[in-house]
Amino acid sequence: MAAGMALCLSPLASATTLTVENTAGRSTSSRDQLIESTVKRFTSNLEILTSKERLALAQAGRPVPIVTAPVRVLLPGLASRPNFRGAGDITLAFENSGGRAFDPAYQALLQSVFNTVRTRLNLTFGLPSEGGTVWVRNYDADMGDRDAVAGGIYLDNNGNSEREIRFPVYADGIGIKPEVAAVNFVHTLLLAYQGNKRLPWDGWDEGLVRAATMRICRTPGALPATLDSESVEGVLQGSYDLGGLYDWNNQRALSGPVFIAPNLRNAQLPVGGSVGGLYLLRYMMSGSAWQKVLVEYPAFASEFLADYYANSSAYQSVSQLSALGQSTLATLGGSTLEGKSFAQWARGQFILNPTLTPGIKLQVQPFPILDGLGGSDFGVFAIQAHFFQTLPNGDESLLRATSYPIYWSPDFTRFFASAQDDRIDIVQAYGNVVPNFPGTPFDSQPYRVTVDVPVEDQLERLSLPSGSIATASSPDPREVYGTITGVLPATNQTLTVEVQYGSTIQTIPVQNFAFGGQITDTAFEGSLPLTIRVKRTASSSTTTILTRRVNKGPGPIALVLNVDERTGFDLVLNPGVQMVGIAADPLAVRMDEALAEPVNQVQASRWNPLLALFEFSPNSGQLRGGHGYFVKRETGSTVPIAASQPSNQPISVALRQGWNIVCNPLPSSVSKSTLQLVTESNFPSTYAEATGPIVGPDIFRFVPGAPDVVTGFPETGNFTSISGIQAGEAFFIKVLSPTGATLVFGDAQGRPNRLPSVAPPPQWTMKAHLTSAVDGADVVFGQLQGATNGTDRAYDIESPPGNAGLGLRVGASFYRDTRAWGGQASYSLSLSNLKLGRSYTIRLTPQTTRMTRYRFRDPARRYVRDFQGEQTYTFTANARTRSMTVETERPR
Amino acid sequence: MRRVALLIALLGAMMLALVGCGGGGGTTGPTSFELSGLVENISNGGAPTPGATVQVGSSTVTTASDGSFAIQAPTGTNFVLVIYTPPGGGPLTFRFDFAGITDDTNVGKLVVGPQQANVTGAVRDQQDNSLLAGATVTLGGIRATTGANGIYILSGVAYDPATPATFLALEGRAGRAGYFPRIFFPDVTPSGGTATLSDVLLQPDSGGAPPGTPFNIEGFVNPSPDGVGAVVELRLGGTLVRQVTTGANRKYGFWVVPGNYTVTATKGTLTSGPVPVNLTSPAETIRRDVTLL
Repeated sequence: MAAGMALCLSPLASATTLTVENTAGRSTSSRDQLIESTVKRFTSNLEILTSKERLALAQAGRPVPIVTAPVRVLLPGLASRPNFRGAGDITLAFENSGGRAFDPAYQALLQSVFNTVRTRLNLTFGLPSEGGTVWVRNYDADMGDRDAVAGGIYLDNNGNSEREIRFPVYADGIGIKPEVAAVNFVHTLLLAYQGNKRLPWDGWDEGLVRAATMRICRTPGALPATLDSESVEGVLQGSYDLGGLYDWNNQRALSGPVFIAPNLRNAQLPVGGSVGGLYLLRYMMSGSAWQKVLVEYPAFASEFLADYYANSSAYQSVSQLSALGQSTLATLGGSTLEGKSFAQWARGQFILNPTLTPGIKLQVQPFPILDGLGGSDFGVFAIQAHFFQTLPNGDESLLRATSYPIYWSPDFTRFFASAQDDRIDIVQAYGNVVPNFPGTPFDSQPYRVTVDVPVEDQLERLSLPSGSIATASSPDPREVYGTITGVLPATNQTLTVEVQYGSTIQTIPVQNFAFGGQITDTAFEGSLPLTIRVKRTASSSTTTILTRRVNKGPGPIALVLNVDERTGFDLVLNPGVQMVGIAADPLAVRMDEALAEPVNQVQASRWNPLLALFEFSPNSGQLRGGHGYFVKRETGSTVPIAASQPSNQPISVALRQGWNIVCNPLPSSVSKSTLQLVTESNFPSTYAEATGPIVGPDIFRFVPGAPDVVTGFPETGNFTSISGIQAGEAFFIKVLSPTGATLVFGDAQGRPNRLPSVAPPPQWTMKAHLTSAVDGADVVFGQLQGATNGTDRAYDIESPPGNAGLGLRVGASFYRDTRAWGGQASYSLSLSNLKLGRSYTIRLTPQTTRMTRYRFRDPARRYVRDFQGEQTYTFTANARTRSMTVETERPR
Repeated sequence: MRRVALLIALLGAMMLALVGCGGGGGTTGPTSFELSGLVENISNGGAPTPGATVQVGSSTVTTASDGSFAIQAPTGTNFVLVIYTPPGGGPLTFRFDFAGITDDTNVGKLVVGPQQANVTGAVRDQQDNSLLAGATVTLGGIRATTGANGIYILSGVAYDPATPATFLALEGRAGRAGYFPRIFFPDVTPSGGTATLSDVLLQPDSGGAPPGTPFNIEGFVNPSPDGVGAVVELRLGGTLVRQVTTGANRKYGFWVVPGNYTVTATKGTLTSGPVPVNLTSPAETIRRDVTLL
């Protein structure tokens, strides 16, 4: 995209179509541009690929010719599928007329890409599993948006015994996007190389293909010289590679056999800013996972696939494929991958877990805001939440929910400063928030921010390095940044992180468990195997407390370095019915997978308070640390469960209204009195304080009864109120708060601190939440002692771009507008992207008792009303934009 | 910030008046409000085509292309009528009730379809199985309250016999003071214009113990009071695998792996005879009431 231009989405008259505009930035401020540069990686893919856009191009005539090299076109009927099986060459065939034909220039581009890249394909990916003709047909008008975003489809048999690449026309309002087309065409060519020997699940198949696509497209000279390498890299960063942020995104919601749910494959992308489900992140994470393999073993793909092609039916389970991966490592002269066996490594990548797990799921995806920060900006992140439900048949429902994230300081104090009361409204499975973490608590030193994002009974924890990546005073982004967990604070200890590549060692200081290092060595820019060491110096003695091997792709890398991480726990199972706890976040996502037993033989069940019924495995949701289950066994056993959980820090568990089965996720026993509860934006309460408004007075342990006369083991039991909870013990807790609660377990080493680290200054805030039947948006405004009426980077946040749907801003551009404390004030609410005739409701919620009375104006209806406390106002849009005003009294 | 300084200068007098009048005396309250919502066609989950007519009193409005509507309604309005004409059929009137409005109100999703069914069922206390009066039940936007007998009747719920799965996917909600609200889904489709759903069980929100232990084959032994103290056997291929005795609530339950079972209840000389129960999946739950004869 040209400098100074912003690619923005705007709804057209139809509710289900989008178009692309090249406009000036949405805001006059630099902040929007900064956030845009981060968010557009995702949105730009969607923007250029909507059905409306492609339809408009088709109707407008042929796209701008980019490549005019002569190509050979095979006419329909001339190609026949050979009987040849084994390595061979493929030949492309294009329709020369009709609806499946491409514009000649576009066809020429694709053929040119193939001609140029073929040698590199063979080198990286090996020869095709079978030779012959592969048809390349224009499915722009028919292909689902998600498949187009993912880079096209390959069918080994299109129903007419033809091999076929179904490919869209990648273009925007100006013309075709040759780099987008080229990269995605390489992707589909590699799918065609596999022929009918595709790997069994998307995580393995698409992942290896996309990693190879990245490697090939980044090889100088591999693609036609007419293509711009910077644009090619932009395409890879936008829809193929999330390698730099892999640690942050390696979450269990990624698991599953396919990336695009069957019911979403041809469903249009929703309006309202939703990305339409988790599919693109899955594609990117799969490519980045396999990129780790190719970094350490560049010839892995060709070796692995050659053996797979030779006997593919022998490799149809994860264990079989892992064994093949291990033997490939041996063939290439190695034995480990990132320091682990292939099976161990694969088990740690949720994207490679193909287990279908019905139930609700949450993925939380952070982006650092890297460039051009100003004022008091100190660690600005965009945090995106994806919340959806997988049905037993693999379909996915895009859910609506609200999350109240909790931001913890390095000593696990809940932050009190501004932006700590953010709410994530999730609509159509997607919501985001852009908190800023001002540096005041630590004198502008970097520090670790732990973010808990609870939604229903799901919770994901992020560990983010505030001020370690880029700040206003040090704006150049670091190449290596991250956080350390598992180390207790101590006054006389110094932590450092060593990054070794080859014989070069770079040392990065750690401050408040966060680090960021500027590595100017150009050798570091590319793909590298790294050895990371965390060193602690105390009393003049330095010890290495963590060593980790990480394979880095091109560009910077974020790391979460878990010292003394819990890597597993023993699940002790007795004959009969019992309650068991999932004592740490397991690598398995389903109970039968964790127990390594046939799904039909596993009896596990969890109470769903929303449905007021027990759900039974495998439909009882993803296994998650801190959850508890009823389990019934005929024999006793102790099953080791592989897990991954930071140590020496409080652990949070999300609860829903009603009865919840949870467990103590700490390795030590705790007292009920040490439990803390957090609701919405409030500070943690002790259990005693929470009793009544938040939780019931008692928690209950299940005590199995006497052996049954028929089966010989307990079939029933009783519940007993308890005050102490053993390590890993499961128990029932009753939540009365309608919005649920977050239960925080803190042991002697990692107990959360309930006191704010900074005395709260006088402040008030009000939230304005705009909703329609299909989408929503919100803003926050108010006053704070210490803020000014200008733009305060520490307190004011401008609205993030990339939201194509309903728009709501304070003033011209603010998501959060915090002004100086005291006095009356007027806030203009700017509503945009309204749909004519649609009904909208705006809810105004004062977050304080210090300012409760205000006057609300809707000039379009000449509506003026004096309000007190929370109020709603509903209107029908008669224009695309609308302005309203909130005039507030002087705070008390 | 200049914008604020200017606005405060302009608005200062007004704001003083606002504070002085106690926040409520500055304007006169309206006698009507905007009522909005979204009408959905059960057949396809989309907007009704052509648009449906939404009626409040003598006022009407046609739904927009996305099914949304907004209409002015007098204070206290507690229902709307939605007139929908399905393709090839005559107009059907759906009545959607809600609490009387006192402000602008969005009534949410209102489902219409080519047919209507009367849906009935009971709401019970999950712990003691007692019938609950005064519970509110909604399904597809249709609302009803259980009577003294714990029975609700939802009149005119949308249904399309061509797409029965869409009826089973309708999200129902039930709630009552003293109980946790819950979601439920229909477990049968209408037949002959009526559907009787399984009981909706509500969990008390005060006192009491946790919900109990899981069962995937469960039911009641009828009739009352004979079902109290009945011995219920579960057999697999003739082999006894479980045996329980019902309590005062006549309820039995087993948690077993998939298989072809029979359930037999016995009390004195009364017996239900073997009732087949085929559990095909560990995630499946089957409710099978048996009757002593």
